Amino acid sequence: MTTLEAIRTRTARLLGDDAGWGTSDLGAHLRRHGPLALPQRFGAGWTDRLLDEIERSGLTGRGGAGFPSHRKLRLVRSAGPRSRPVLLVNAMEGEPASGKDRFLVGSSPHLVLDGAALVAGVLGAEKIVVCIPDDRPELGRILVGALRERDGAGWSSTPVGIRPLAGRYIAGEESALAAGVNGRPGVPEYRPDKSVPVTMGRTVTIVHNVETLAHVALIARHGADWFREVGTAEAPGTCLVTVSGAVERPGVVEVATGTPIDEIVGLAGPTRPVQAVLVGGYGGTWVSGEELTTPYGPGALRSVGGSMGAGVLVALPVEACGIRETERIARFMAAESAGQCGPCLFGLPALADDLRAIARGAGGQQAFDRLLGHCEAVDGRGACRHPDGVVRLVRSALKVFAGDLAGHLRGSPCGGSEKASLLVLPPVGHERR
Amino acid sequence: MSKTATVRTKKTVQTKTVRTKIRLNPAVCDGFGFCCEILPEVIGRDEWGFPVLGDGTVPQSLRRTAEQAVAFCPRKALWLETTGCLGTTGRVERTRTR
Repeated sequence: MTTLEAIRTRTARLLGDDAGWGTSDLGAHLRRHGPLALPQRFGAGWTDRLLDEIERSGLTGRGGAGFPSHRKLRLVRSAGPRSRPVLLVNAMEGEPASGKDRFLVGSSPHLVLDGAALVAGVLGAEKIVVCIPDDRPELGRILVGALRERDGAGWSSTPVGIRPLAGRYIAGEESALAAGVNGRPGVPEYRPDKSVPVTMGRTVTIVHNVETLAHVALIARHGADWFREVGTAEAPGTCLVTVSGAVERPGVVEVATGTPIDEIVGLAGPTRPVQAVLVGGYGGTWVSGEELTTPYGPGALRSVGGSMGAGVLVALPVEACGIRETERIARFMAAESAGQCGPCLFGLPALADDLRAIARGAGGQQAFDRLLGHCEAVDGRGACRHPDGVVRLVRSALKVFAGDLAGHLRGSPCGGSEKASLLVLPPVGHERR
Repeated sequence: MSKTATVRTKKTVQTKTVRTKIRLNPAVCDGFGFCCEILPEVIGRDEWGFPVLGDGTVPQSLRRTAEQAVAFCPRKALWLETTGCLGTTGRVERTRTR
């Protein structure tokens, strides 16, 4: 996904009519969204009011986990006044098929920085660190420019730093991000209780995705009721989705949550009949062609075994081989493993090998049984959710591509398995640097 | 050697129900497999040699053995988690021992 464009929709809130790279200067930002004017709007105790407003809005995290934002904020607040927390703004976007975060930072840096300043205010944060992948220096330039404008306007209250970090799939995971910012290798930590905030030394950190923060900036301006005017009850508002695969205009689209999957893919102009759609990301779920009317919202996606994830939709055309594409993803995810946990280090390549054998039509029932066994052996046994995501994807592939699978197991693979992939498969982490 | 998990009791308390679970940090474990050999009743082993804990419940009779499994882990990846419910107070204590 080298070129990114916004696909215009009627529901655009974050993405303006003229959304595109470098179109947002501070003046244009203020003309479009208006001033923040918090004390005027909420009075002196605005931080508490804003937190209540975020709670009423029902905003959920847009980085993948979909955790209610107000709960995350309150968890950090209740972690105690040992020290002031640090807000980590997550623009790492390790999902290869996702481009919405960098598109948002590139086109509306001030909206993201507004949201970061607001959350930092709510938490009394000591500083804000915007984490960007080190292979995307253009994001750094845009952010530096935006910060300079804000300094000039006298808007700086919480110090903001920009931190390029080694960009790999797992680098954006909360504890990996905190480790990276702290100067250690950016790999996940074992955290059995996810409700305990991540710390850097003695400092409590809070990690927010850039899109989540941009929504906070709009909730502060227009209020919770406005935010809830569109979207589902469980995850109200709009969301950014990166659509790719067999479509004419791969790009970023902003839709109300709960918009049917086929409608979102339709906005990008499918080039040929769609067999299935990869939903959420590379640790996500395949949704079959028959289920594409499923609304893109947490509840409905749960019923087909998926989640909104990082806002990724990849349209798989009818002639492609779902088993082979799943193998390619598993191979990529295996290479992106931090290599800390045995079941992930050895299990993910094993899953990819099993899928390869099946895709070739060589493995038969034995390969299939081995694959099921490996799914069982890997699921839930890592320090983070990386291996679990791959297992979820593989299991959904076995269900969605059951017809193809039967052919492969009989030894007559479909024609699609030798075709080039439509997926974005960047060189893996260690080769990138 | 590890210290023994202690359940703090009031002098009067006689009855107690203690549940012990063995826990693993998979990011630290290197699959030496000592634990699987010391405590095979609780800890299985996958095809790559890494311990499989299931829900990790350690029967009271194997409590001492579990402590040995923890102590012998070259990577110090294991620990015991004890949930004790004291009879008279109903107080729940969790102790983590290394």
